[in-house]
Amino acid sequence: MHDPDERDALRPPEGKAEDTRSASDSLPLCPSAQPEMESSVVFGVVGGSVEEPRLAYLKEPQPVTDEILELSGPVKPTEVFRFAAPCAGSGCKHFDGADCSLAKRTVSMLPAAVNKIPPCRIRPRCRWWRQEGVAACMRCPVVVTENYRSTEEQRRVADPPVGKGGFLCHES
Amino acid sequence: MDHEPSEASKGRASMPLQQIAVEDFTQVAFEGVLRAIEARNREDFRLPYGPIIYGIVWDPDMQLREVFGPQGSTPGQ
Repeated sequence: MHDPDERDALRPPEGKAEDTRSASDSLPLCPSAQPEMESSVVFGVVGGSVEEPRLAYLKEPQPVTDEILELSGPVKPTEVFRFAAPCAGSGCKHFDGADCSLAKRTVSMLPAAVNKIPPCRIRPRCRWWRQEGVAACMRCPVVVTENYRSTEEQRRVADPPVGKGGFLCHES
Repeated sequence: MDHEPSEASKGRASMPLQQIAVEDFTQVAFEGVLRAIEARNREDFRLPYGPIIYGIVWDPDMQLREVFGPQGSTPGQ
């Protein structure tokens, strides 16, 4: 028997259940957004270890506030928290005009990280889930939005498509 | 396409998936900060690349088009 989260996850992405909700409620959410984006919420905290980060999912996603952002102290909030915000569509380098190419690459290039569907509260509106289904959920727990300890594989996946900016790297 | 979990990820699969209540948020966040600090301070930190952004990356061209229009002209030109 599946718990409610699993039932959500197992429903095909095409089976949108937001018909009775407002348009803004049904906009897909990017599950690796930035805190400054409008309507951004915290839905997870990166726990686990440096070698094996593991997202802990909030029972109730929290709207971004200054108090929450201050909890990350000396590091960036995106190193500690996962934020969800309405998908920016063509404003994002990963959007190919129809789909999120980051979600596609995540599923096609990274191995599943868990064997149980995470207890995620944003799933019904998650773009990655709507597009890639449970396969995206099985890789989500090891995603760190700003990651100092990425594998080469993760680095390749995170790289926006050629022609949309090339390899992204920061000076530390 | 789905993959078989690698040996490393099979190890991760044994780690329980955690769901946290709002009242535990601060403590879990504190532990997350410690993990992030450790990640930054490891000696094998991958310089010169620095961190990756695994998520939304704004398209600067798109933002400019929104401000200046499709031909890059400023409004009114």
